[in-house]
Formats: sequence, structure tokens, C-alpha cells
Amino acid sequence: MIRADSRFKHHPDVAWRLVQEDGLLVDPRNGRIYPLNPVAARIWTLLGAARRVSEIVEILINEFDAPPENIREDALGFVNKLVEAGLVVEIPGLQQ
Amino acid sequence: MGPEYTDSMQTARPARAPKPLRFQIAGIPFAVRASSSQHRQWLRTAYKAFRTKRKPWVHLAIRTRSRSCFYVRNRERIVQDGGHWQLESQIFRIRELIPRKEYEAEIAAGPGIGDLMRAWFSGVLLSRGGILLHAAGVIRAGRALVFCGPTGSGKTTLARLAGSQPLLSDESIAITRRSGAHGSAKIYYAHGTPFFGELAAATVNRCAPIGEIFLLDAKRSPRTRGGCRLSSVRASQSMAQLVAQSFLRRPAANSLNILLPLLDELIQRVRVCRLEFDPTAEIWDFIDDTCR
Repeated sequence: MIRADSRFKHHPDVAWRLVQEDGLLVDPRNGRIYPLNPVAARIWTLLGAARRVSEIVEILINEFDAPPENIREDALGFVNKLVEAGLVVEIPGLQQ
Repeated sequence: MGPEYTDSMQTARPARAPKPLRFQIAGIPFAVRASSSQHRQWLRTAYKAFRTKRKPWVHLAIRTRSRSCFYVRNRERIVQDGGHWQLESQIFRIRELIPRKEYEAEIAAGPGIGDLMRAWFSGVLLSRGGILLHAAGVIRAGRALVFCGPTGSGKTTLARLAGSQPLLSDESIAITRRSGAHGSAKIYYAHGTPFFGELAAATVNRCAPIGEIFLLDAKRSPRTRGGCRLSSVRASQSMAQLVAQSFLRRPAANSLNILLPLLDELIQRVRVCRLEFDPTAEIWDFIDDTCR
């Protein structure tokens, strides 16, 4: 379960690239390729800066024109998928 | 006590090393020294159109080993060993000895030399800033049209429809970039390769500046029956398909760190779109009309 104060970092094995507004992740451990839309690419970038999930949601609410509750739900869902796929790892020491 | 003297020791001579075979693919001249006469003969025949007299930039020595030397459970993977890449598969191993210049390989006796050569060359090409793509290529009006897609997406069908147009390959295209005149923007070229394909014998050792890259889907949509359709593709989707078709199966992260920027630059400079088509010769008129 993702908590609002959780912080993550990119898994070091995962190769990624921002491509125009989009993003692309490639996991060489299993050969899987993940194209990211602009919102997902933004979340990925913010996760790389070790920001709390709650901070990321606030940034997205300011940057994207959608209902805040939808953004929060989508962002948490996306981070959860990243965790399940092993593309990010939680930074335990930084939790409050 | 020293070794016993025998006549055979006195008369033994080192076996004469086979003469290396020289080829050039995508502008890269290389020499292959294969210990197996069967492999040498296969290379002479299959890569006939790619022989060269140029001094090789890259050397590959291939030794044949017993099949029991390989771990058949292993899936193909690239590993880094002390800064040098090593590629392992069920039937061969390739090791980089001097980066970008010297390689050695071991292969199980029997077929598989073509697989080894393609895997090796994709690594060499990447180390020199090029990409080997699972794609067909046709030269039309001086431009290379590249059709990239998985098996069953129609690459060979399109190549057959090419008629008298020069065919770069129906299976593997090498992409390189060169700076334009006076340091102007880079130009991307598609090169013919001898790597497999049902129409390998018709492949020409030529290159041309890339006009368009068309992405093909594994299954054609029923909507395309009776016609052709071009559609734009998001950058991330283009990149995803090009990575998937880049012949770097299970690449190491540092190979991806070379590949992704190359593909990113490629899709910024070359138009990439999705093509659905009806397999008739009208495809060429459609491409001429829509891509002009």
C-alpha cells in the first residue's frame, strides 16, 4: 500500500528516457518496455527526485487540468504499478 | 622426468590458421576467422554480396565447441565483464576483447552461425552509433523506406511487392547517421544486410538516406482491407516499438543507455508513422501520395 509520505527512487537497473512529452522505461531484467504518457512521465521524473508521493500529487494538481481527486487516484495507482513491477524502490530511511 | 620423445612431437607443425574472410556491412569493414570449414563456407555463400577488400576495422575469431559446453537453459543475455560486453545464448558466446575492435566467439557445432553473426554485428554497430532493426527496406526514388515490425507484420510481403526497386532486406536493416555537409544536421541512412530473410539472395549491399520509417503491427486491422492507412504515433510508442525490434534481446542497462538516445534522436529527425496496408502493388502509389 502506497502511503502519502512514501518516497521512492528509480530502480538502478531500469533504463529510461524522456521522449518529447512522453517517457519510456525499459527493464533489462525481463525485457519489458513501458511507454509513458506525459502525466506518467512527469510522475516518473518527480519520483527520481525523491519527492514524497503527496508532494508529487500537489505538483500534478497544479500542472494538469483535471479534478484533484482524479489526479490523486491516478497518481497513486500509477506509483503502485511501478512498485509492483519493481521499477521503483522505496526509500525507507526518509519516511516520517 | 621430462616428456617422452616421439617422432610425432618432432614432426608436429602448428595447424595453418585459416585465412580471415573480409566483409563490409553498414560501412563497417570486418574480418572473420572461423575455425570450422563449414562455417567459413556458409559465410562465403550467405554474405557473398558483402565481401570487401578493405582493411578491417573489427576482427572476430570464431571457435567451434561441443554442444555440451553451452548451457541450454540460458536465455540470450548480454552481460558486462570488466567493462567489456559479453553475449551468451543457448548455442554461442561472444566476448569483446578490445572494445569496438576485437571479439572472440564460441559456437556449438551445427547451425547457428547466422544467429551469432547477427547478434555480434548488432553489438558492434551499436558501439559505433548504429542500430540494427528488425525491418524491411526498399530504395524508392533515392530514399530508403523502412518497414519495421515483428514477425508476421508484413515485411516480407512488402519486400515481394517491391518488384524492381532495390531491396535492402526483408528482415534486418542497419541504420547509421552521418553529419551532413559543413556540419549540418545529421542524415540517417538505411543499409542492406545479409541477415536472414526469405529474400536474402535478393538483398543489395547498398544504402540510402531514410525517407520514412513505417511501423507495422503483427496483426493487420480488418479496417485496412481494400486500402492503406497511415497514422501518427506518439513518440513513446514509436520508441517502444523500435526498442522491441532492435535485436538487442535482454540488453544490459548500459547498452540501453546508448540505444535510447540514438533512437530518440532518430525519431526527432526522421518521420515515423504507423502503416496499415492491403498487400497490393498500390501500396507504393499510396506511399508516394501521402509521404511527399
